[in-house]
Amino acid sequence: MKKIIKRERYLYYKRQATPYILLAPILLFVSIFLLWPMVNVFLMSIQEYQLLKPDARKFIGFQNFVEVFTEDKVFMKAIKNSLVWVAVSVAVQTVLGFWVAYLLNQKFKGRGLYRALVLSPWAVAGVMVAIIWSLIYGETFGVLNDLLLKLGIINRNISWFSNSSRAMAAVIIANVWRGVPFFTISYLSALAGISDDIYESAKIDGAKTWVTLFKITLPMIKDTIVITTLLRSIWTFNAVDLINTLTGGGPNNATITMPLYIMQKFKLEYNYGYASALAAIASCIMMVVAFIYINLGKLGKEEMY
Amino acid sequence: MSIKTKRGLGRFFFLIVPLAIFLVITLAPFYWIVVTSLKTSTEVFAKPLTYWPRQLTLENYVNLFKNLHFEQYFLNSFIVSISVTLMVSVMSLVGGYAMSRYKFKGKAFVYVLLLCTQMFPAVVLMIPLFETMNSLKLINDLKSLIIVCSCTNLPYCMFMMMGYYNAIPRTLEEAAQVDGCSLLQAVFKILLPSMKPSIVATGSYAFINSWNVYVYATAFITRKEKYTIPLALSIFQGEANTNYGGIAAACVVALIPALVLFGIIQKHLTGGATSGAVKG
Repeated sequence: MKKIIKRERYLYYKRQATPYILLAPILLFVSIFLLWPMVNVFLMSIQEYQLLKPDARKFIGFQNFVEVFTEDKVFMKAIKNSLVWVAVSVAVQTVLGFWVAYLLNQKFKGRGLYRALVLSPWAVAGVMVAIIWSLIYGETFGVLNDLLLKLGIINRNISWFSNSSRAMAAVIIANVWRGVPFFTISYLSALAGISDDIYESAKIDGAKTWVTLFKITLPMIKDTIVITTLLRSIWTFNAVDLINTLTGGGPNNATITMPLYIMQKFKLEYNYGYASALAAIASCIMMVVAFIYINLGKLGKEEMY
Repeated sequence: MSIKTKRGLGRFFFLIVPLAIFLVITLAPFYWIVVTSLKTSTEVFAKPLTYWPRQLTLENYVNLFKNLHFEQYFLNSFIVSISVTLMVSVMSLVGGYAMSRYKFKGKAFVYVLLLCTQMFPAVVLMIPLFETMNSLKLINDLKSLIIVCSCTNLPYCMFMMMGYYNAIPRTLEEAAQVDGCSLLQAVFKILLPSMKPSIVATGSYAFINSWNVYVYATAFITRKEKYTIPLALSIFQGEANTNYGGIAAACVVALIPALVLFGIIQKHLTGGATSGAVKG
C-alpha cells in the first residue's frame, strides 16, 4: 500500500515538473542573453564607460542622462526623426497591407503564385533592401530618375539623398516596400476567419461592397489591425539596418533615428556608457508602448489554454 | 451596358488593375537588381540606361567568388543560420509542447515574458551583449552570433510550435498511451510525424532571420574572414559604391536562399507574434 502511494506521489510530482523541465532550456537562454542584458544596459547607463579609457570606468549616477537631455542636440533630432519614420512608415503600410490582403482574399486565377510573389519582400534583409533601393535612387545612373524623366515628371536628375525631407521620404518608401507583406500576412489570416455567410446575408440585404467593407470587414478585424500596427511600430522603431546602409543617418543627421544614433555612439565613438543611457531611454519609450500594447491586445488571453 | 459587362468592368478596375500595380511595384526592384548584375561594368554607367543588358555577362558573379571571396561570407552565414535553425527547432519543439499540453503555475507569466522579449531592440541588447561576449572570448567568433540569434528567435518560434501543437488533437497521444506506448514513444511515433511541416516552417523562419541578422554581426564581428553576408554587403556597399554590378550580383546571391525558403514556408506564415501565429 505504502509503495503505491509513493509511486502515485512520484508520478504526480513528475507530471507537475515536466513543463518546467521542458521549458528550462528556453528560459535559461532567454534569461542570460535577453533579460539580463536588458537589466545590464540600465546599470551601464549610470557609468562612465568608454572603450578607449578603460581605467576611467566608474559609476557616475545620472550624469549621462543629464547630458543627453541638456546638451545633446542630435538626441532631439533622432527622437523627432524616429517619430516621422515610424508614423509614416506604419500608416502607409497599414493601408497598403490591408488593400493587398483584401485583394488576395478574393478568388482569381493564379492566386497562390501571386501571393508568394507579392509577399516576397518579407524575406529580404534590411541591408539588401538598402542596396536594391540605392541602385534605384542613384542620382545619375538610378532607374527612378530615368523613369521620371521619361514620364516628364522631372526635367533634370534629382539627388535623392542631398535634401533632408527627400532623403527621409526615400528611406520610408524603401521601408514600406519591405514592410507591406508583414501587414498583408497578418490581415490575410484575420480575413480568412470571417465566414462567407456574413457577406452572403449582407449581399441579400442589398449592401454595397463599400458598405460591407466599412461595416463588416474592418470592424471584424479591428483587433488584428491594432495589434499588428503596434507591434510593427515597435519593430520599425528598432530597425536600423536599412537606414544605416542607405543613408548612414545623413545628410546632416536628417535621417538619423534613435537606434541609429545609439549604434553610432557605440560603434564609432566607443562610448558605451553614453550609448547605454540612450539605449535606456529608447527602452523606456518602448516599455510605455508595450504596456499599452499588452493592455489593448489583452494578449489573446482566451487563446492561451 | 448589361449587368454582366458592368460587373466585369468593376472586377477589372477594382481587382485586376490594383493586383497588377502591386505586382509590378513589388517585383520591379528585384528585376532591376538582377538586370544590373548581368550588365558589364561599362554598360552599368552608360547613358541612356538600358532596361535589358545589351550584352549579358556573368563577370560580376565570377568576380564575386574569384576576387572578393564571397564564398567565405556565404559559408559563415550558412554556419550561423544552420546552427540557429537546429537549436531553435529542437528547443521550441520541446518548449512548445509544454506550453500547448500542460497547465502549470506561471504559464501566463512565461507567455508574457517571452512576448516582451520580442520588443527588445537589438541595438540596445548589443551593448551589454558585446561585453558578455568579450568576456566569454567570443568576439570574432561565429558562436556569439549563433547564441544570440537563437535567443532572439526562440520565443517567436516557440509560439509558432505551440500553435501547431494546439491544432493537433490531444486524443492522438492519449490513444497511443492507452495502447501501451509511453508518453515519449507516443510523442516520437505519433506526434512528430504529423508535425513535420510545422518543423520545416519554424526552422525556415529561424533560418531566414539569422541569414539576415545585421546589428549583432556589426557588434560582434570585425575580422573580415568572419563576416556574414549582410555585414559583408554593407561594408562592400560603403567601400566600393561605384561597382554597382558587383554589389547587385552579391545581393542577388545573398537573396536566393532567403527567397527560396520563403517560397516554401509562405503559406504557413500567419499573423504577428500573437493572434495569427498562436492560432496556427
